[in-house]
Amino acid sequence: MAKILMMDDDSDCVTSMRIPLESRGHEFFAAFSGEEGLALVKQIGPDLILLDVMMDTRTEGFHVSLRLRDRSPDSEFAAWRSVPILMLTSIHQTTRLRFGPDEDYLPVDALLEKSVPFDVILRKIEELLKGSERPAHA
Amino acid sequence: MSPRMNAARAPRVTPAVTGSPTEQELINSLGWLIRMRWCAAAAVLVGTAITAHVVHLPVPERSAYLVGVAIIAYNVLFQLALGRLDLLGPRVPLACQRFARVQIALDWLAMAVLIALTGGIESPAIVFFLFHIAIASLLLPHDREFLQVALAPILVAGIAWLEARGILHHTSLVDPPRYNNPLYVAEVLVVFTCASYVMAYLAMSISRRLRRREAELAGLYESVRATTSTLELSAVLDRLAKATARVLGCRGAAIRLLDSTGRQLVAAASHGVSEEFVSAVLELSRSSIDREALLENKALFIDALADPRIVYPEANRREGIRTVLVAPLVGKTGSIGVLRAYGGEGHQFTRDDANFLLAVAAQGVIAIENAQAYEMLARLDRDKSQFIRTVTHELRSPVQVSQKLLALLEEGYVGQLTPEQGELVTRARRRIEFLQTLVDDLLDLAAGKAGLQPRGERQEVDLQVVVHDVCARFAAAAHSKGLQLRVEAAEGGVAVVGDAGDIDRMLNNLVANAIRYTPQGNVVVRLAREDHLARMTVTDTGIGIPADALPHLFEEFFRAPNAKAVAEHGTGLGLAIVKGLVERYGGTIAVDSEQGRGTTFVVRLPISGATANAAGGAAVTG
Repeated sequence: MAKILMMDDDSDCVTSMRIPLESRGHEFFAAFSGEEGLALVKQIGPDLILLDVMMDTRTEGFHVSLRLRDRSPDSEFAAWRSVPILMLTSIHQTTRLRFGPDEDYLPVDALLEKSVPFDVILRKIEELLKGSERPAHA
Repeated sequence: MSPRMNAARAPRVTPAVTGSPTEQELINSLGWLIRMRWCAAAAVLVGTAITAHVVHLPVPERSAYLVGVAIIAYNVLFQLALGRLDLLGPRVPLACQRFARVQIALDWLAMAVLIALTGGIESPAIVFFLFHIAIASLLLPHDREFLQVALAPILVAGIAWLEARGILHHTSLVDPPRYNNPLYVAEVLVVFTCASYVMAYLAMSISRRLRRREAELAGLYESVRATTSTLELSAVLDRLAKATARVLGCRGAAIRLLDSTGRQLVAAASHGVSEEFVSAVLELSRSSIDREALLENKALFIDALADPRIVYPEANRREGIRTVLVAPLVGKTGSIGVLRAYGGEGHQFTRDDANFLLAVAAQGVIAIENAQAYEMLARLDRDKSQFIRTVTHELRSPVQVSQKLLALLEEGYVGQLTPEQGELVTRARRRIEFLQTLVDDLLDLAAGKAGLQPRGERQEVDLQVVVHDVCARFAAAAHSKGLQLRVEAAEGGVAVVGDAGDIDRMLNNLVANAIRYTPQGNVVVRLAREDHLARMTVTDTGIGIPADALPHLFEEFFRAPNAKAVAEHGTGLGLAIVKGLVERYGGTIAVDSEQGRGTTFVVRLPISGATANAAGGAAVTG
């Protein structure tokens, strides 16, 4: 149903998400680094992005999300600013990261630990996809 | 070996707040002079009385007493003026100087009058003039000193001339009178003049030496203060170089430290010399001067242009350096480098300078070693945190993803498994689940032991919120076991200062245990306030803890025998983690249990704003 792009440097993690998502009928794309992922965003225009926090560097996930959500009008990712981003982290015990559309906060829509059961992740994805059907705010 | 300044002595020499030391010293000296003058006035009065009535010499008593009284009178004025000056403080340096001159001028005048009254050129009191000359040399600046000194013989000569001419009355204390004998007068004047200048010279030398010592002590104190007020190594080195140049009054200074091989001297800090002059690295084998200073542990005087040991005299010439004073920096573990002072054109370093440089070097080394130790500790701390963070990630990733892959199998995403296949996969996944918990627990424990700072910022944590959060988390698990999970929280806010995650963890482990080891009945979580403490209680109707297990309950990897029967796999770390956290927060944890009846854990934490005593601990009762 939807085009889902996952950015994660661990191919096993990618596999563990691809299988359930494709079984739900979604189209699944994978990128193994932030740079590759951003290039793919322009290429395929995903409906949702799954973003790993730690890839090549400890904060690569954050940097990708910051670039995607860049507010400046001439940002190259302006067209995809409203694509929902689900961040996946292996960091145990949520470190009180706040997230939301506000500039002070982390520019993602949701944050889940990788260790939660599949149905929780899948439910969250469906939720975010439904939410993005609303007209996007500027 | 180095002079240690103790705080009690410091204020006397400190330039710290107001003017230079000499101003404060001057005021102190003037006070002393005024006190001495009382004695002098008394001596005049008593001396006159004795001379008149005991020795029976024809001294003009009334006039002499008058002089004594006059001295007392103007001393009173001086005393009052000193009081006022003290209030004004050394903010008025010129006033102090002028005050000193006025006192000395009046003293000399009184002295002259007394000499005139007691025989003029024949007066034995001329000797006392030498004391006044000494006082003037000690108190007044030395710029016009030799002219000032001349005033004394001039005054005496004037009196002699006036008496010889008959203008001034001559009191004859010796028989036959000699005041009109020009040869006698000339001889006395010559002797007196010589004595005056010798006295002035002696006093000035002493005064100069004292001043210099004062300045050195003040400088040493300053440099100690400057270098020990920071633990940042580069700041310490910069301040040491600057203090050296300032205190020695020379052109500049530079510090070189030995590198880890001990073969190279690396430029560490410099002051007053250009960047190019201080080349970055110097081979110790090529610098005989530094080698000699280090080996013999003494200061060396170097002629920057002519000394054969200097490899590049041209560099010195270009920089304007003519003399160098080199002192070794020797610490607890051996030599750590050299300290150099550079003198420009016309500057000469003295033996005093060398001793002083050694003193500065000695205390500088202490400051350097402290800063180095501190830096090493800071680095170790950073490395420790970095290590734990890396281990956290590296251990967790493979465990988590293995779980996910097995879950894919288990939940049928890649086709149906046979019951046997499913069983094996399930078992594997459960073991990995346990491994995940174990890794998490170990990392928590390690973080606690490493004394890492709490992850979040320290903030006010509302315990009500944490209690409700944790219980909400376990609601489903309790329900599926048919247990009642209840919260009883006191009215009003109860908050502690710290990281919410830590408190959550504490409570999480206790409630998880309660539910795990309670086959039926209920689990109650209570929150209350007890004086300045917050009290959290977790009570269950579970299997309880056998009495002989209680003492070991909080040990790492310990599991009570009856626990293993109920839950096959447990890390045995949950309570150790709780205890670690509770202690870090300065709280206490206690347990009360009876096998077969149930268990109660009580955690007490200091409420924000209150500080419990540092020793937290685990108490075991029942």
